[in-house]
Amino acid sequence: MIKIQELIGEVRNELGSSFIATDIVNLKDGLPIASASISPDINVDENVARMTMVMKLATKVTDKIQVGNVDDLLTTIKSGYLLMKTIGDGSYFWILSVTDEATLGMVRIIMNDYADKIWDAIPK
Amino acid sequence: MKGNLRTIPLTTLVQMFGQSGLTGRLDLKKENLNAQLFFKDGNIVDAKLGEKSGRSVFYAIIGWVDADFSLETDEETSTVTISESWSDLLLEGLLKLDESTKQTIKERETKVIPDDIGKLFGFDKNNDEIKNLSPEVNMANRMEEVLKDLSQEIPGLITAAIVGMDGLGVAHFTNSDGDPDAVNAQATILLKLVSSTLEKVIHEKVEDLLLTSDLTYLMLKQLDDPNYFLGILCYRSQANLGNMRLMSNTMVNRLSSVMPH
Repeated sequence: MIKIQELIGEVRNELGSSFIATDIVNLKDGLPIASASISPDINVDENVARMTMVMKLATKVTDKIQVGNVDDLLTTIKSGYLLMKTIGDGSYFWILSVTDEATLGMVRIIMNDYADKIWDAIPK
Repeated sequence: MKGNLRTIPLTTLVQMFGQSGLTGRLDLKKENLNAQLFFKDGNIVDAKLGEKSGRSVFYAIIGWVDADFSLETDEETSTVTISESWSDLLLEGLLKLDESTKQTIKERETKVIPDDIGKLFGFDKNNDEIKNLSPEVNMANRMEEVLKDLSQEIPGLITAAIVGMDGLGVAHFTNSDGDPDAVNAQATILLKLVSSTLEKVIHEKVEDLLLTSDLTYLMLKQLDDPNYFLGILCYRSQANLGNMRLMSNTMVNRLSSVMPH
């Protein structure tokens, strides 16, 4: 788990001031195995549980309309972006929230770069 | 908790209870009909309407609009007649509602405009001038024109649609033989869940949502009227993400101008 924390620390550094929070989550039970955020007040467990519901539904949606497996889900809100990306075989996913200062294309590139590294670092 | 489905639709209640993992009994009263939905850990495990029970009851009442409801928390049932998760049940219910609504509209159109009306009144009912008399038809045509324009700007577009938050399509343009209604229903459920989740978690509204899968991009963009959204499904191998976002922003403005206010 130390390796995963190091990796999300690197992601945080790459994103700089646009970084808000990130979690690596087990899709089955909705529990985070690694987290980081700019605010200690964020209720990680509740937020992650809700996001897990969204990711599970996204998986069902792509299944029902037969367009393959979920790669990622990007939500735009007024103050920024929320990205959720499937990791590895789909048993884990990665939540990343950034401010609207972030360059969306760059954030997606960073997530693509780090998704495999994080998957490799998850104990199996 | 008490209220009327005019204020909080049944689909929203099911979603709320499902997300919060509620256990309890929801009583619904519409005129002389009384229905009960039993929730266990967020899922509907039993539905009753008179002598009937099971999924068919849920599908029968999902379209109720004017009905009083009250919730008794922690009330449980010993009978389990439904095994699907709340989200699967809701999706299936919305699809059935969609089919039923379309059938009703078709029946009404058939009744209102009989095929021999031209003979009776001495005009051709397919004449363009006659068609232009209907503002609803005009509006739908204009929306479909915008969607058609969109299809020419976004390479690999499979389908584009204007969809109500009830899951019913208002207008669509498609380049495939697939069923746009199924995409509309699934997209609505996803957008609703994401919207309600983000409002709870960060108290913000969703501007747009992009679901990337192995094969496609599915973009959902809220229109100025929050009761509707623009949905675009296109092949990932052909579409360009930046172009999709740009064109959807542009078309949303055009769509808003042709929609009723």
